[in-house]
Amino acid sequence: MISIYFRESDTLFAKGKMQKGHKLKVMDVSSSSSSFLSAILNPEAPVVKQELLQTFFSEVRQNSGANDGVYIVLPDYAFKIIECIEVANDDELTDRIELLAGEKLENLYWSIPMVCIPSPTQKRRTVYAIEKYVVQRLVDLAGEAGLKISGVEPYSLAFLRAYGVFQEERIFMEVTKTRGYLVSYSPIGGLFKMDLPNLPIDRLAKENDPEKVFREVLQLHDAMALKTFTSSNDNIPVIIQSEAGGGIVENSSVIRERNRVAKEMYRLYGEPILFAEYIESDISSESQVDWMANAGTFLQDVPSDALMEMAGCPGNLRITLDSGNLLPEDVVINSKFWHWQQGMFKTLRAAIVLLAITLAAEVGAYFYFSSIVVPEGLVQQYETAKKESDKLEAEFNLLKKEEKENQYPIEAYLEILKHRPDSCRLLDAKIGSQSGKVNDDRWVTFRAVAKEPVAFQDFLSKMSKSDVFKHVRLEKLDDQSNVGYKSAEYSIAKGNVKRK
Amino acid sequence: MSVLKEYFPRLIKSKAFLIQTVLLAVLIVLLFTFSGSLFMSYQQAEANQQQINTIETFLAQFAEQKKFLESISERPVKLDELDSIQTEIFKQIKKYHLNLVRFNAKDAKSGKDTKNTKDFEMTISGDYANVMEFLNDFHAKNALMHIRYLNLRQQQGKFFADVVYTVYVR
Repeated sequence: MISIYFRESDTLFAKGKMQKGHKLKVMDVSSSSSSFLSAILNPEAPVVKQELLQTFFSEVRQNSGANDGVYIVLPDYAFKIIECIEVANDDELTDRIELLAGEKLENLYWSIPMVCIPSPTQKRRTVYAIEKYVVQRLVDLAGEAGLKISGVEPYSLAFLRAYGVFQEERIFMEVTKTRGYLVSYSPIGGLFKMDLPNLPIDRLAKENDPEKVFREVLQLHDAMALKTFTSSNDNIPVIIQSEAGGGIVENSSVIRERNRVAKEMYRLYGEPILFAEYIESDISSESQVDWMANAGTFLQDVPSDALMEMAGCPGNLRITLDSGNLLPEDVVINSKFWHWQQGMFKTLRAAIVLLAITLAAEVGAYFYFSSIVVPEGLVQQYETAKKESDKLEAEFNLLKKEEKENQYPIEAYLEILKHRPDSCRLLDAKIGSQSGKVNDDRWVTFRAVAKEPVAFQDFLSKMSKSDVFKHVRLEKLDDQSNVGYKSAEYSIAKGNVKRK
Repeated sequence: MSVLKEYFPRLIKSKAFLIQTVLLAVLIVLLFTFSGSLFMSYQQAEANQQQINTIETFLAQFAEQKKFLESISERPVKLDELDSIQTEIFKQIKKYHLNLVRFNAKDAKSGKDTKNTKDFEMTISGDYANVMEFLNDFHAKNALMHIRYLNLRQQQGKFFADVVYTVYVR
């Protein structure tokens, strides 16, 4: 959302965003030293000035989002009437508006943003009315620049909404070089405007006793407030908005004294004028007063009850504060639709872009997946290897078979020789299986001769210690005393033997 | 929802909205249609990748097995190499100054798997030391073979060795 406050000497610009619970965040503020107000308010404004305003609107459009609502704030003096009216019926209301404005109703845009009900029998409505051509010019020039205006509101109403002090009386005084006026607010009556022809800075500078002018102005206000609201407090504090040279107003001892006395009642004097708690911003506390109207107009669609609740107003305060938008209904509807449509288009475009990117990613992924094929060369390599693999497998099996069938006769014979005592001699030895049937229990059989039988036992015990042999048995012992030797037969089971 | 209800009749009169909506619809249809093809191509790619991995693992194992076999010194011989194996053994007998008393190829006997083996038996005689050296050095080229049975004996002052050996044939 964007708000533009057109002032006599400059233009204030703010960006805001509505958040959850009707809260507002003011994100960015800036000002332009260009003033476009005369191009808006002067019915005979030169075309050049109107073109400048149109250029300004074009720049705003370029620097804003497509669906940003644009809210305009005009100074209160731009309005034909700001008046608190108590009437019996609607016919009387329109008659009073015509009478107060001095214009026929068809030449005016008007709104009743505030209704105060101080008692069950009283209903006071605050009417804002502005000449049609002012609003129409804004709509036309903005429209030609491609900008759709969502709202046009008066300064005092927008200020009050952002200020959030609805239960206390205030005087909003604006003084420029050429103009002076005030808008008075009462929680039991509403708002009314008073033009102050003696207050412009240029006039005050020529006065011998400006303080006298202020005193008269405030007396006049108090009398008018009493007449309009039927009851009014004394010493209502004054919030001053002034341009360069406005120090003469801000430093007025009459006004300062009034605000000092008012402090007892309103706790205002000397304290900065801050945004209400439902507005979040980084703007310094001293500057918030300058951006009050820009912020307040963003809140124009917040329901009155919600606004009063957020402001912490007491339950007996019977005020209804609605939008003071002066745009004709069809323009408001068209503007809302246009912004909604822009939002819809933005969403659609985002969806189209997202889907297009997804589709492109899918196409990319499809081509990537399609590129993953088993290479022809690899398949051929596999088929060749597969055939050869069977042969390799058979060869491995043969190696295992050989290891299993090997009887290691040389290893066995050498092991026997290793353990043979010197007093023994070998006659013969049979190792392994002649038939092919493996019999590990009788792996080796051999015969030996010796003079003394003890040599055979020694041979047996030495062989029994070998890992290569298992179960060494002396099977037969013969006494061949005719040749002077004894012979023995051994059998050995296979132990842990490995290829040498 | 009420906003949509209020604005929708006006919205559908907008040419830009219609164009964007049609474009969006076309994209959605394309996306869904293509998603099917993408899923299928993904599945095919996954299967292909799995096949590539399987083949590569197999080829790596195959290469390793082949390298191992090539590194070992004794391997099964081809059937037609048997004659040269025998010739080599006879040369060895001569080298160690031994006498070949008897030699014959053994027939297959029951109880032994002879599909890939050829058994031979022979008797040699000679000096004890030469016989032992011959037996210790018993080989022929790089043939996978071993002595299955050995009978060492003395007879009439001579040293004899009855040998049954097996050659493995691929």
